Amino acid sequence: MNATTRVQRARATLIVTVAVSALVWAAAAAGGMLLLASLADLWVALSLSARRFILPTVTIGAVGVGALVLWRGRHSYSLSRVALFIEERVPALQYALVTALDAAGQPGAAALERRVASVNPRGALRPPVARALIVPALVLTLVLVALIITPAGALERVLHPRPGDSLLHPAVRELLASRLSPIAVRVEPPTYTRRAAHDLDDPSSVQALIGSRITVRGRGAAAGAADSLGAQLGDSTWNMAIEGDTWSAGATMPAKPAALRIVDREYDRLLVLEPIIDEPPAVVLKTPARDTTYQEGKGRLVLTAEVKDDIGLSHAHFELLHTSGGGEGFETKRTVTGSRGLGNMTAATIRAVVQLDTMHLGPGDVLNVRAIAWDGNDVTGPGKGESDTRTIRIYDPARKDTVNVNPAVAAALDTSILSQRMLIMRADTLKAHKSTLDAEDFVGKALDLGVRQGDLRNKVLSIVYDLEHVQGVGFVGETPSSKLLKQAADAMLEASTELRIASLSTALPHMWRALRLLQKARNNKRYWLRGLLLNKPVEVDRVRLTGTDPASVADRHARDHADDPRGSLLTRVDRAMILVDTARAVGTDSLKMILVDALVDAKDVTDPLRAAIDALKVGEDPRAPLLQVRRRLQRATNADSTLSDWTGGS
Amino acid sequence: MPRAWLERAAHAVALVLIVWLLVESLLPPAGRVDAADLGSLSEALARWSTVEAPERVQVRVDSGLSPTQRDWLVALGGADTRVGWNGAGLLPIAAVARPIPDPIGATGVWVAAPAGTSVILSDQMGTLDSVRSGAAGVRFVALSAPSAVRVRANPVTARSALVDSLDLKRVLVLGSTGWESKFVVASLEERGWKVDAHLVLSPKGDVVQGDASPLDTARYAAVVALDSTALRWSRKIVQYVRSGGGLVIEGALTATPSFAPLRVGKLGAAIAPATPFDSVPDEPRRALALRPITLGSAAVAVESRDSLVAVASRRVERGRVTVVGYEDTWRWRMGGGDGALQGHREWWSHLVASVADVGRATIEPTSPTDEAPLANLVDRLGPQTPATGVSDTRSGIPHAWLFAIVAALLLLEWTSRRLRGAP
Amino acid sequence: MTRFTFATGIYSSGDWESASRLPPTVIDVLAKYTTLDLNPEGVNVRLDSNELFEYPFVFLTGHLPVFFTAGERRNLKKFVDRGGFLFVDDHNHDIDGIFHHTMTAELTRMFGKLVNIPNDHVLYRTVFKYEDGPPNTSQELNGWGDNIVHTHLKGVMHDDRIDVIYSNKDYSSEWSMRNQTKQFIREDPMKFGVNIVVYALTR
Repeated sequence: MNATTRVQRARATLIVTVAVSALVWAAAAAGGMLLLASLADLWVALSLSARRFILPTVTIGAVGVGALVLWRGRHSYSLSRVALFIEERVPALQYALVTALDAAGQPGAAALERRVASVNPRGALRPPVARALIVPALVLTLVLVALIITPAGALERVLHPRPGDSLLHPAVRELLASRLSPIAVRVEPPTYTRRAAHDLDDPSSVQALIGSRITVRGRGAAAGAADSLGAQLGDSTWNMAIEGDTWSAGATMPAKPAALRIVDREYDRLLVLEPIIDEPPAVVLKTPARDTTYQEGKGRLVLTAEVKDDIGLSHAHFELLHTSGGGEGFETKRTVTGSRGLGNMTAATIRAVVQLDTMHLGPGDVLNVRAIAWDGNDVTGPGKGESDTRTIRIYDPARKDTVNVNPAVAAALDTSILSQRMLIMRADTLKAHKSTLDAEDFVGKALDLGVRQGDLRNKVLSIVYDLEHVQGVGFVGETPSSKLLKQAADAMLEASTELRIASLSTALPHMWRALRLLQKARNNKRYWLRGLLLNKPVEVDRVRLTGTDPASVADRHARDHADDPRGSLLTRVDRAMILVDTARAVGTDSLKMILVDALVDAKDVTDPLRAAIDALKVGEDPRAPLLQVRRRLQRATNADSTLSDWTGGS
Repeated sequence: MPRAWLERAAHAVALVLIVWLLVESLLPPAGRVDAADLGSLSEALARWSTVEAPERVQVRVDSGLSPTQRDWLVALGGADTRVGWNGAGLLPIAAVARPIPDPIGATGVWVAAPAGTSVILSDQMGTLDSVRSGAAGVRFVALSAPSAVRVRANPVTARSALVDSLDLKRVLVLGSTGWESKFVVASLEERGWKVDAHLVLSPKGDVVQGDASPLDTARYAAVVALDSTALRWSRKIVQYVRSGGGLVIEGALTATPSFAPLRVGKLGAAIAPATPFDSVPDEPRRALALRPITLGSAAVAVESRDSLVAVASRRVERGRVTVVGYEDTWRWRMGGGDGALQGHREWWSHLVASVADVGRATIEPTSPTDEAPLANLVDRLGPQTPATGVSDTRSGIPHAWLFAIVAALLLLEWTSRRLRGAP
Repeated sequence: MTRFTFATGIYSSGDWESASRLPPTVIDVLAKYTTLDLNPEGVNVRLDSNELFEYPFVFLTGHLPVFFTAGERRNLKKFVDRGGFLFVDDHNHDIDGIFHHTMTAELTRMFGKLVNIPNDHVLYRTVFKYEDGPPNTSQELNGWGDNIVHTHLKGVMHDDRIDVIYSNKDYSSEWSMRNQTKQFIREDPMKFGVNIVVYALTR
């Protein structure tokens, strides 16, 4: 084994040593930092957000320490530095090793080799290697021992911070006077929501869907808690369960805001329960987009609806009510169509098509159409959402005396028919006078008719557009009338083309065809706007006080004073503000009770109320949010907007 | 040589200051004019009242004096010390808190302050509201009915407290059966007023609530006359007002000869509302038809719309009359925005309150008051006096500083001397 | 001063105009027995319009299904909250009829459960006395509709005050046909209309 080999072996030993040392130091640093964080958390319970930073910080710190050790030992990779390292520890070598490395293969190398061979450099490495490994190992051991003897739960809170772990805080058991602080609350939303449970740490209030399972947990139950602990919500008592050192009380979230009172010996604590309502589905019937009156109950009715829900939809359908009859006999038939399961979707569109011909709608009949959707709420529901109802009436000529029926689109159609008839008459006249006109004049007049026919075609196409489109919805489909009108427009195009080349004989059949189609469209189906009831005036002066029957007018009784829940809240807030100064805990409870009522009567003050309660909880001054509450409830007015100069009184 | 001169000079100045301090402490304080500002006033007052008796004191008042400080200065003045004061920027404000004749028991706070002043109202709990003063001042209505209030218009604070409580009597509403009468009665009752009513319906009978026959101030705080059917009680109403009763009357009715003694002014032609309620949510009465009032000599405008008087009042002997130029105020209650119901109740209640004849019982104020700080100051201490000729040494350089200067000079002189080797 | 105007509510579904001859008869009887300042013509007012609040008394009737739109519901709720008075009559006088089912469902949805108005309520004494509660109609006595003589009116009540009257008695037919039936009836059936209107105007 020559000198180079010896140094290489020593280098390998040193490299391994440095690597192991770096690892052990990194582990020790990580453990040390965790220990410090645990101790800090023991001393002052760290917030959840602060604890969430600990693990990343520890990891970065440990990597940093390891990297530092590696960097310090970076010279172990260099043969010359390793040789020098050995030379420092074995003076007997007298730099023979360093020189042998440089002089390999040169004259005198053999002597150097011999010199090196006479000394064992491995023994020189043992102390520094041992030192490099034993010190961090000892530190690591100490840290691990310290971590092991750290109170249960402390490390858990640092390693796995999560909502609801306040009860793991070891100080609680030893230090708490009341077993009601801290508490953790688990909220399990109803199964139908398919939402995950979540935990809250020491909350003042709990917001959850109605029907959610609310479980309040606390520690310190080992010492006879069963007798002294209780939880009361209004008149009902929540069941108290004890498991080891943990007590818990659970029930479902009520439908109205309430305060849960938890008691333990002389201590008590209020927890505001703020129910969140599962709103019923919102249903919008997109088509038909408006109420209409048909001249006949024929054709195709396209139904489209959009449904939305805050949690999840169950199913939806369209409901059609066909009412017929008159006088003393009305009959209503209910039909359901377009049923669709919606599998907990939060938004969907449902569609259906109804052939009106199959419904046997007669004159005067009424068809009510609406979309209905249900959510999956199996606790307080199912929530049912209904769209606006569209009413489709079938025109009844017999009711003209009381209902003034005004044609809507039909008016435009009538005008078009008149115009088309006029164009035909003018074309006939022009054709008849052809022989009396010179060619240029005739062509000019024919061209003019062609242009007018084109204009009329555009007007008809605009009616088609009105029939097939609804503002805000877009295209809603062809109607029998629109089909006829499109055919008429085609005929008009043919006629217009022929007129422009002065071919009146060819144009006129197209013009007549267009006229017939327009008339057919008008007769086929009409859209009507419902008119107003005709009110006949009464001759009041003629009949005034002519009634002869005896009367005895009853006295009036006063109305009750209107409730003023905001005024009551204001008075209570004033009282609570005094209490907050004199008896903080009582004042806090008072504010919680005010919050319960404000959730119903004055939602605009709930946020500052919560802020005040939270401020009290952490020992801060709640005055600013409370003054905000007062100002919102106060509704103070000033001179500019009300009576000012007259002070009242004497 | 110059260094030695400087040392001697320092020594000399130190000695002079020591002598001056000695003389200052030994000289009798009588005949001195002393000054203080608000920061040092409390300390100065104690000193002036115990160890010193300055011939004249001058106080610089940059913000309001507390009532205690003011009274103390007045007492000092009574002990042969001439007290003068001066201050810049002191706002002349006044505030008074009185119970509003309103069943909900609110406290009204009337504040007189220069136009444009920012006025902050507080009660025992803290700030209630702040607003910029208009030309006529500010009125706050505190629904929490505080018994004492503070009004701050920097740098002055006025304090007021309730000194009486009210005994509200009934209100009589007269009119024909119709929407206006229905909703006026309803709004007043919902506000908490005890209402009697006589609503004309038919020769076969009227709709009556309560007994309106003894129309006197012992029974009624106010009468509300809504239309010409009230003419049948005109003589009684005029008598009632003259004897101290309050009357809220619909505009056109005042034009009738029967109500001539109560006339507030002339009524113009009706102006149709130009705007729907939802376009004027903050000024809903702009959406009501109005017959503008031209004020008579004894009348004051209580509410105006643009430049037109909409509500006006006047005194008639011991009573008060308020004329309402708006027509069909029920439309506001029915068609107004979110606050219309509450607003209609509140407005009609204020109208009645503005004329109501109420019984009062005196109560002890719950805290000291200072309703017009500047006026009180002038009243108690006289007008401002200029600060000229005031020796201001005590407040100029305190003795502690003079002592420090002496010590520094002597130390400097000694050090310099020792450094140059002199004994 | 605003005249009293008899307003018939227009709702988008159903046949709101089914009692077209009723408004003049009510105005006529009001003129006969009161000095109310009356608009000689009734008006028709859309329930989803702001115009609704110009008429604090609104009459609703019909035979057909009633499904209010969101705008109509919102307006009606505000209308009643502000002190408006709603008089709803089932023109079918049939508790199995579609108008009854749909209208009561709509009213319940907006105002809560309908309750029987006690027969000693001041409504039956406001101007004319009805000792036994609401007067019966020829339609009921003839056995039409549900063949029931309804002994109570229903309503939405706030303490003792009525905000909404709901009737299955078919006053729509009775009052519309007053000119035809009055010669056979001892007592003018319209007088109860005076009670309802005066109640709405004064309570």
